[in-house]
Amino acid sequence: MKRFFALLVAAITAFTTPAFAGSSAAGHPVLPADEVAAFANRVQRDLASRGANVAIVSRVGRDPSVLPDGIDYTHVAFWVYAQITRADGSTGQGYRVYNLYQREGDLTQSDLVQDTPADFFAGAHSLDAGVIIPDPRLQRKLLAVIASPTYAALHNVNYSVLANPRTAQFQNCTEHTLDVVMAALYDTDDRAKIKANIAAYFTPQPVPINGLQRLLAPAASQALTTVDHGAQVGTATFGSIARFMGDNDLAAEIYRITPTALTRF
Amino acid sequence: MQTIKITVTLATLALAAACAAPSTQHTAQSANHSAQAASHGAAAVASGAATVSAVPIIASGAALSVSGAAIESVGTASIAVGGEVLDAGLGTCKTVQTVPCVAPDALPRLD
Repeated sequence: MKRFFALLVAAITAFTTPAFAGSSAAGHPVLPADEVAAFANRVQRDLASRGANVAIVSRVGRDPSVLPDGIDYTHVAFWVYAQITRADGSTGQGYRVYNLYQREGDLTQSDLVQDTPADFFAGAHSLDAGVIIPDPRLQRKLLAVIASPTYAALHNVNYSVLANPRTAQFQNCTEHTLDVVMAALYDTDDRAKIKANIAAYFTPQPVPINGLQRLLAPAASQALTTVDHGAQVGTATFGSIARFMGDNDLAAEIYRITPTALTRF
Repeated sequence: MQTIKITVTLATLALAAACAAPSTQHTAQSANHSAQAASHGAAAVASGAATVSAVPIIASGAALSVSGAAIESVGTASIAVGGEVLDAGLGTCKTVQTVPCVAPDALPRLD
């Protein structure tokens, strides 16, 4: 049993480390940097052309064939149109990305990090983004929250890959995004109220995982805990947020963008 | 064989929503290339390494900067739920909670 357990832990660790390191091995880019930058610019231009002040954008961090059914994108963040000042004093307008990232060195913790669209797609498995452009009225509400202390106050540093969005025990990037959306919708910073509304109206993405798997997963990483779930496991994903927003007429556009095509979901 | 199956499944789950930050090396490379790409005509670009501030712009109207085409419906995609529908027991106030139970508001609606 001990040998089995040791092998299991070693194998799991070997499998999971690259993903937590940003979907790239030892700092080597997965895709050519110029292609990543060009795609990031394509997404920026597309959002700007639609007058999007705020958008929810997702990326593919791993080969979709190894992801659970119903999960296509591995990271979600807000893209906010902003006045940007560079170190040389020049200014420009572009998108700034508001992320929740796992913390390097302690994967059970997370940090709120701003970076660029090109950073966002760095390490992506493929140049493919899911995009939600909220209704303009919701965009204004989101901007108000993002520019306020509420945005950081809704951050829970305790990270779980499969965080239950209906509870406040753990949080991942998609759950923080959802919490901010709910805060904007209901004009509240009350976390309990936000969770109550999520529990009432948001359907998480089911994740098929059995009892033995749930028992063993934390041995690989505490970030794989599911103690915040009931009998079944479900987490917030780009798709589940898109469904929620689409079903409640909260989105102006929901689509997929690649280097060569745009497809409405 | 069972060990391998469990291992692969767990590894897959670990990848599901990793929210992983890009590596430092790759980030720097992308930022540089992004800046280079910007010089080729994309106005809405900023390099992470060189940015000292970014203030959200609250503006209304149509296009914010460069022009773009309308969405082309060139294929079909789906965000339909995969797998079974969760039962009502998930995450209710009866399960593990770190916040007190409160009543939800009405369905979200924009004014």
